[in-house]
Amino acid sequence: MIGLLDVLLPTVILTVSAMLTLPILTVIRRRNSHHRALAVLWIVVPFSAAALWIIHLSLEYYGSMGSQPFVFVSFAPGEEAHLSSSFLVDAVSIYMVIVYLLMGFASCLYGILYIGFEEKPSERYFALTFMVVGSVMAATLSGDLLTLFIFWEASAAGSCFLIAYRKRADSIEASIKYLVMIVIASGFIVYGLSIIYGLVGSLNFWVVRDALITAPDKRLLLAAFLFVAAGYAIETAVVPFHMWLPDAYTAAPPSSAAFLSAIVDQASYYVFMRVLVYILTPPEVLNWPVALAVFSALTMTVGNLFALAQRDVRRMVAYVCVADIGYNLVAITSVKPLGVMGNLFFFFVGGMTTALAFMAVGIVNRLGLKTLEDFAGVGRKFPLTSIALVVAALSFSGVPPFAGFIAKYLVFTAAIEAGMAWLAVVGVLNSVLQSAYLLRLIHYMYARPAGRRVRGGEPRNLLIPVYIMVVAIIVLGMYPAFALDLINPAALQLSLLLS
Amino acid sequence: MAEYSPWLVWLFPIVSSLWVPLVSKLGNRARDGFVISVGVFTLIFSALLIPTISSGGSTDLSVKWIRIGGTDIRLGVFIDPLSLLFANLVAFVGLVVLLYSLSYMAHEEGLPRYYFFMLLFIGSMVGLVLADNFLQLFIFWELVSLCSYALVSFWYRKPEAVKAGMKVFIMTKIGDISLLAGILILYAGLHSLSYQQIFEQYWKLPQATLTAVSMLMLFGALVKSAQLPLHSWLYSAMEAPTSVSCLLHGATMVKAGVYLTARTHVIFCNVPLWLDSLAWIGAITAVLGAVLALHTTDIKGVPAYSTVSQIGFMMAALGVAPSPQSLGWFAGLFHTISHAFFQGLGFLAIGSIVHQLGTRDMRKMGGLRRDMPITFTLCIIVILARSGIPPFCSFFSKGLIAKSLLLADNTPLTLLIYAAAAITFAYSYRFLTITFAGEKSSYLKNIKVHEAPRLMSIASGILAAGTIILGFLGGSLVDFLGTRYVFDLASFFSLESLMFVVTLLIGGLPIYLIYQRRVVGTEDLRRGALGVLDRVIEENYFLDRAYGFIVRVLLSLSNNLYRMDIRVMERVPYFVANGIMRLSHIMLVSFDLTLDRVVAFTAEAIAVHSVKVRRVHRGVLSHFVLAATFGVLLLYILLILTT
Repeated sequence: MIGLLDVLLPTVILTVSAMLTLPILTVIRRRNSHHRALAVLWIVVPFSAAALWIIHLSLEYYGSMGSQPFVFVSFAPGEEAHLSSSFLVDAVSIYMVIVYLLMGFASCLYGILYIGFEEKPSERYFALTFMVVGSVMAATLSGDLLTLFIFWEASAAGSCFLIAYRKRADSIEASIKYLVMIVIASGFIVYGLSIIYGLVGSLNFWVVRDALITAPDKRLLLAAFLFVAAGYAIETAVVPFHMWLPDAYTAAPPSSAAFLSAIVDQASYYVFMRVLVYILTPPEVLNWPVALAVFSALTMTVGNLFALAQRDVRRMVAYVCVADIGYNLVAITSVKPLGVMGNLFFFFVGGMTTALAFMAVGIVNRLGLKTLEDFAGVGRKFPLTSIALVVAALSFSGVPPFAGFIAKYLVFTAAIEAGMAWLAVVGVLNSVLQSAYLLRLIHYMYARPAGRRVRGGEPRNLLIPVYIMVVAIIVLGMYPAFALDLINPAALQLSLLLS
Repeated sequence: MAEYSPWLVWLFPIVSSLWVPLVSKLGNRARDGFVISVGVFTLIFSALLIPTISSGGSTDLSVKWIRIGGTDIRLGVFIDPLSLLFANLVAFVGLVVLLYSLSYMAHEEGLPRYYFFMLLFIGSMVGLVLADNFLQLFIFWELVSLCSYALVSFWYRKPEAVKAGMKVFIMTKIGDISLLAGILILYAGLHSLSYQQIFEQYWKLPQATLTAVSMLMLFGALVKSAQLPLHSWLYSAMEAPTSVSCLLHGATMVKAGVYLTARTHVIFCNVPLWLDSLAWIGAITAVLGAVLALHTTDIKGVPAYSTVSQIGFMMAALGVAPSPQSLGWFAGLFHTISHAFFQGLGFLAIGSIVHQLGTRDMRKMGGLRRDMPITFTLCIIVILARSGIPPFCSFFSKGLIAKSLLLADNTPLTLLIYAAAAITFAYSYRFLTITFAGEKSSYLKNIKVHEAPRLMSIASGILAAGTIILGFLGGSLVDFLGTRYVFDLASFFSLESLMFVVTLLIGGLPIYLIYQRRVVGTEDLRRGALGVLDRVIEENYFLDRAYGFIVRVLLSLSNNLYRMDIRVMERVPYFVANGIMRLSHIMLVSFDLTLDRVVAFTAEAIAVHSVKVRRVHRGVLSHFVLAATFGVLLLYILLILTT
């Protein structure tokens, strides 16, 4: 039997260690030796504790799954239908929590090695990364729209600080922009939720879902959908709601960009998928997939076209993130088990690939090398970093045997299965565009003579998290069963739900 | 060992490729020995597979790879005569090229990288032809592209080489995408990707879907095989080391398209449009490619365009075959093998010329026959073999192609192919006279030219022997591939094959007059009506310009869109802001004093900060909000429209 503690403990562990981070890092800093090793140890401990508990949770869940695929855990058992805060454990949320844990670990490790905790407010940075991972996990496990909203906003607030860290003018500005957009988005969402609550009398996932199938007032439902979808679209950065994303990811420190693209981005896609596919499903009531398909095509095309126009490499990767959202939307619009599989796989792979790209670009950025021209000759001066970046680029453009290929394959098959072949064609054409500008980057890195500013060796320890990602991308590309075995139950559960 | 060889034959080179960097640390001899033994074992494994299907038929071995929804995607090996033919060809040519590389590439930098990609290239190609489903085929298909990208840009310090690599990758990627689209539609229709299931069930697809799939896959195959109009990547790929070109032309990369066409023939021969397009594109490419080869002054350009043209022959033959048992199918494949031998030999021979002269411009050459007698002999063999002079292999393969075209009773196609054959001899002969005949050019007088090292000559010799032997093995190949045709050597001395030899004279005579007798100067020819033609060919039929145009349009589109995104949105917010300011002014007047202060303070704070915010970075916050508003409106309209 899964209890409230089982669900919440990973979040609690991470939040408590976030609070402990401030005193502990201060103590470590006062010591004379082994700073870095101790700090890394402090990353490893909370993550392993959370990992143990998540393993426990998933064993418990899969042990009893036969009886109940969707397990609701609530503060007030029996009162789920009302406004009691509740949590939902199913194959999707378990998979996502595992994904966050793995990617969170790698990107926090990169963060602590990149930021260097001699830097003064760095303990706040590390504390916040823990907190964001924790609240994202809780958002993933939540079972009603309000709990989801609260934890999700908590993580967004944390991301704001991560963007503004180092307090450079442009990063503060980007974080203000992000904050304003998030506030507008939460206004939309709360307004939409209030309409839903008015219609249904509950915000619990399943109660809302069942009530929507019997189709209440259609106009109100339309309004509710409009606001909820627009709100989450802003946070997911669907075109044309995307404009904060490139600014934020370019102005933030590279470690923050990697962390955000790995965790917060993927979490926002997850929330979008969960709300649309699982809760607002009935397309016969409201035909949203077609509307969303238009946005998906727009997002892919704009993301890739703008990436093509960029000279700043980090900004280019940021636009790749935007294009990734488009690919995810392709799978969401299919409202098919196969689409959810594509989504879940894409969350993992896309997150890893963008994080890898930001990490690798970040290593080069440290020398003040930013534009494509600056990247000339980087391939020879930073051989290992460049190989990692090449792997990321190839995975982005969907070249086998890297994992990006399987992800795109699943997504496009889902679109065709749902009868949206045109969307698959748009997506596939976009892939050509993508490989064009990514090859241009590779061209600059390897074929152009190096500028004078390109010098110095590669920081070896920073390459550890980078190569964790590289290995994972290659392994998942060749043997995707590692992830698919966890995803398959989710697809089966969705097909149960849809039938 | 034999029972594992279906797996080892492709896994072994791929896995070994990963060890190359490590083995290289042990020294050059260890690396060379390792690479050659991998090549030898790959050939042994693929040869071991032949007895397993001596009785004909096919075997499908597979294991579960991934499970997607309800269907399993399996990782498997499909063994039938066709796949074995290609696997052995790849392993054989691969081994010869590796042998050649030992000496040819000996003094280059970055050899671990070279051999890593070479082994991966060979392994992926073997994996491609042995795959038992379309997804696996596609994965190896892309890997082959990737390897050729890396190998074409092997000399990454040369900007042209890197550019060429990119061109190869992007251009073939367009074809790959088309292939992927075909595969996805096939999967959506049949819920399976395995060859066997698709071969059994393809008739369940509606004719329109089948046609769409066939055309998408055909486009993919044609791009990979460098057929018109996307053939120019093959010439750019000449920036690669010559050994790579040999592998790329002989067995891997371009042959993947031929393999795919032959493999899917059994399904798509029911689609008339597919057959016709295949035959016509093939025949037209055969002629136009040969014309390009006749025009080029680049010594590697001759075999490059020659491959384009020769693959046109193969495609034309496959296109007139009504079924995989008929003569055209066999003729296409037979020519594939003979092409692998003579073109591979051509590259190996040219390789030693380029190696020593340090230039690829034929106009700087001449009179090489005395300095490089062995290379000269090899080149004569190449030319005889390529043009189809008995007893060389392509006499038989081209004879069969001509015969199958006559059987199909398609006169225009037959004429095109005869014309292509005539031009083939013309450009081969032209190449020979320019480089080997006549006096030494001034450029060559300063260079000490000597014969190629022995190892390179041995590798070339193997292929040269192959060009002679192969033709006489035709009979057993017919049995092996299960074609309904009686291979009789005597039947080749019939009218259509002799016609073929006669056309060679037609092609050879003008070249003899122009280049050997110098009756007319080449400059005189460029004037007048021929000049226009010259320009058209010079510009590669203006295709490269067209592609360049498309790319430029795309680039400017993306730049302009990006700028518009910033500019247009600058205007609208001020408009809105003005209105709101007026409104707030009215409100300000009507509100009481306290509130007045608060509002004024907030407004001032926002105004001060917003100026700061606006100045610093690219995007402006108000644009974001505006864009979001547009987005909400768009979503609203779409929802209303669809519901």
